[in-house]
Formats: sequence, C-alpha cells, structure tokens
Amino acid sequence: MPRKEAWGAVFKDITLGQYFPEDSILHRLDARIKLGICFALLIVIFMLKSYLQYGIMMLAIFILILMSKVPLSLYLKSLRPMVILILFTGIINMLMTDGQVIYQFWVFKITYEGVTMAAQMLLRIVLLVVASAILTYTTSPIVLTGALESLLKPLRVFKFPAHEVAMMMTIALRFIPTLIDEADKIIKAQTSRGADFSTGSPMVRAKALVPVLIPLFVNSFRRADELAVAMEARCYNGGDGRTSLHVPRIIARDYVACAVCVLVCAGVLVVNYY
Amino acid sequence: MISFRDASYTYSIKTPFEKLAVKNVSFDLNEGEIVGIIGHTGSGKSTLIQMMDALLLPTSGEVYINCTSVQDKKANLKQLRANIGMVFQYPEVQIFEETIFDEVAFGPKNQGISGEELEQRVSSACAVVGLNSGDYKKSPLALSGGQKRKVAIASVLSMKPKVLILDEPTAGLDPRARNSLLKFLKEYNKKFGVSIVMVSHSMEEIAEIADRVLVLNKGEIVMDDATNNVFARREFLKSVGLDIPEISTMMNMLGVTDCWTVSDAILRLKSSMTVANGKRAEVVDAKEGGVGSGV
Repeated sequence: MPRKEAWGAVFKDITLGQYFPEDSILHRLDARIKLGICFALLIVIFMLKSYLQYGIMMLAIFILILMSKVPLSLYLKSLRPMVILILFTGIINMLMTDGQVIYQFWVFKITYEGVTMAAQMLLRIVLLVVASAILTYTTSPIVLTGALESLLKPLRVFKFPAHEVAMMMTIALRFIPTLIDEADKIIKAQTSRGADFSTGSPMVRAKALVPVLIPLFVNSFRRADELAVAMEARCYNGGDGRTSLHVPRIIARDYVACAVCVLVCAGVLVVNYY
Repeated sequence: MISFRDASYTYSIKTPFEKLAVKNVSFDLNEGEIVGIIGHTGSGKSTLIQMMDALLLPTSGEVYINCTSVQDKKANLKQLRANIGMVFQYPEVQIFEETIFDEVAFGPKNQGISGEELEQRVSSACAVVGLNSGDYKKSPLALSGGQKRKVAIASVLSMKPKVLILDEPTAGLDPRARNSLLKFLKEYNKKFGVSIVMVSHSMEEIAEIADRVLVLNKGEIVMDDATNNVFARREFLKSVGLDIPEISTMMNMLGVTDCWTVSDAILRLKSSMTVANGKRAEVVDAKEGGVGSGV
C-alpha cells in the first residue's frame, strides 16, 4: 500500500505565474494589447445585464480559450480556488434578494429575483476568472511585467517609478522558484534531523516552522545583498536611458485583435437595445 | 542497512511535468562500508540519496531501511531517519539556532534526548569535527564558511547515525579543509563502524575514500563494483560523462598498463619517484613502461 508523502512534492506543484508555453495566436499577441483587451473584457463583464449578453460573452471567452491552445482542464483548475467564493456569493444573493417568493422555509425565502441574481453573479465570477486566466496562461510573467512597465511609463510625469516597480516585480518573480527549491531543501534537511511538521496542535506546528523560516530569511537577505552588488557591478542605476534587447512592436495582428475586441465589446453592450 | 529493490522515483508524477529521476535501482548498503556515488549532473544522485533517508518515497519498487519498508503504513519514518545522517550539499544553509550548542543539539532533542546525555552528545560531535567547547555560546551564523560547515556536520553527527550520507561535502572548501574532512570521514568510519555514502564530482576524492563505487547514468546504476574495478574502465566512464582520477591517467601516460588500481598506481608512482631521485636513468625506463619490472 503506497503511502502519501507528508509534504513531498507539494512545493514543486505550486503553479505560480501559471504561464503555459504554447504557440498560439494569443501567445504571440503583444502583451500590452493583451493586457488592454483583458481589461476591456473585465469591464464589459461587469456591465452585463441580460442572459443574451452573458451568452455572447461566454461564446467569446470560449472562442478565446480554444484559440489559446491551453487545455480546458487548466482553466477549470484556475476556478478551483474560487469555488467557495462562488458558492458563498451565490447562496447569499439567492437568500437575500427581495421579490417574488418561489420557496420558503423558516426565515429564509428564495425569490425569483434572487435566483436570477445568483445565476448572474456566478456566471460573472466565472467569466472574470477565466478571462484573466487566459491572459496569465498565454503571457509569461516577465513579458507581462515588461508590458506593465511600458503602459505605466506615461505616469513618470507624476514621478511614478514605473521602471523600478517593474524591476521589483521581475526580481520577485525570478526568485520564487529559487526560494521554493531552497525551502524544499531546508525542510528536507530539518526533517532528516528529526523535525516534525505534520503532527501536533497548530501552535506546535507553527513553532516547527521556525527552523525552516529562519534559514530561508537569512539566505534571502544574503542573496538580495549579492544581487544588489552584482547589479551595481554592472553599472545598473535605474531606468533612465535603459533600452531592452527585445523591443516589443505592435504589428498588424495586434491592430486586428484590438478592432475585434472593440467590435465584440460594443456589440455585447448594444445588443440590449434591440 | 539500506536496501533498494527495483526502486524508481518520478517527480511531479501524473502531471505534464513528469520526470523520471531514478529508474529501477537495486542495491544493498552494508554495514561499515564507504560507498562513493558518481554520475554526470542530472544523473539522479541527489534523488537517490534522498530516497535513502526516506525524504523521497519511491514511486515504484521498495526501499528498506533497517529491514523496514519505507512505504509500510505502520513504519515510523521519523525513527527510521534517526538511523541516517544526511549532510546536504552546502549544509550550512540549514543553520538556524542562536548558538552553536543549540544548533548541534537540535537533532538529538528531536529524538527526545535531554540533560547530561544531550550535552555529552553535543560535545562529542563538536569534538570530532574540531569545534572548541569555548565557542558553544557563539552564533553559528557569524562563523566563516568552513566553520559553518563543521557546525552543520556536527549537528548531523550528534544524532549518532548508523549511516552517514554526504552530498558533495567538499564543494567550496579550501584544500586544507577538504583534506581534513576526507581524513575525518575515513577515521570516523573506522572508529565507529558507521557506513558512509558520499556523492562527489571529484574522482580523486572517491578514489581516496571509497571501498565501493556506484556509477549512475540517466537514473540507472550502470556499475556497482569495488573502487579499483570501477576506475579500471576508463572508456566506459568516459561514455557516461565521467573520467578516472588524475593519478590513473598519469600512470596511463607513463605507459604502465598492467596496473589499473588506484592504490597500486600511487604505490608504484611513489616508488618509481624514489628510484628516479637516485638514478635518473630509471625515469627513462619508466617512460618506456618498465616501472613494473624495475621496482
């Protein structure tokens, strides 16, 4: 009978910056355009009212999912952490909305409006999560921060440190896998010295993490120091005058994508008036 | 002590990122022997030694520690691990306590040892690696790299393991620290009969210390033999991305083809050098491959 490892590959399985490398049109699209389209879709999703609008939007999102070439199962996985939130908002909306009562027990009453509200809320959250998942699955975190930097650049007029913020995000993302590896190694080292992370009261378990967290922090500070020295040794002095190796260019397909997005969004919003 | 029976380990099993790291490995680690593990980067050495300490459980096959299967639901892994001391690569990163004493005492404390025995364990572990009792109250984080490693090794030894596993223990050490560590491991093995498993990229170190060598390639054990026999097969080792120790290469260059064993090579080289000091003519002889007959 195989037994489960107490912590085993837990750290290895965390999908951070859940990028899914593929070669699809969506992957090749300029990240800034993708960011803009995603933002537009999120706003439109918040403005949906009728079932017809929801239907069109769902169809549009579904087409995007197919275009992304990312397996459908991954999108379902991205919804999993939201299940509780979805159920909670659904039930609250169903019970708390006044209107035409269709079923009643004790102090609770379920109304026709409540059911409609709950269904719409559920669809809305699912659409929001999936729309942003399309962005993160098709864009690597590094490219995404680059796009963010480029979009935030105009804010430099107001002394907003766009480059520095993007650099901080890039460094943080870069070190996530390193830290996970190191945490894994330290946990194993302390386990082999008899440390126990999986039994005892929550207090005992929290205390058991001290031998892992202290080395992790100590090493992170040391590493930060080393990185700072390495960057300065290569004359890094902030964003002024820096150019990048791969300059993203907006080409025909990006304009087409923009146009399609505007058409779909406008269509969805206008369809209610006919 | 430790037995592998057809054991395999696959990382991220049942995901698209599945990676087979150790494949159908079978071997027995006997009491009191020093085993060297060599293999190209990514050949599965680290995975293999983590399986020896039940830090990774085989995804198929069986691993036995002290005749207990690590996959047995009733097995107490904490107890099994107490028999095995694991010194990871760069073990100094695991240091976390405020004083050297507490750091070295962490392992035995987890085994439920306290009071006088705990102190005795700490002082004997510190003594064998050469840490002064006057330094017990110092912070281990403020020490130099080599000293930190001593503390880390002492903190494993204080658990009195029956098997000591070391993953590239000499990486990043200066030559003197390296030599004293190897010497220490040899003596420790002899004195306490502790089995030692050592992973290293340095063929010299393995030749110097190991009785037996496991050669790993792509997760499989491709050779499991006495050290001398392993290093006798240069072509094969080259084919799996390894090489033989410099000393063996040297003997090869000198044309001594009949002696392949490392200790033999060292002996013959030494004697030929003493001869050479006396008579220069003998060196010419040696170049032509006459050392064997000349001595």
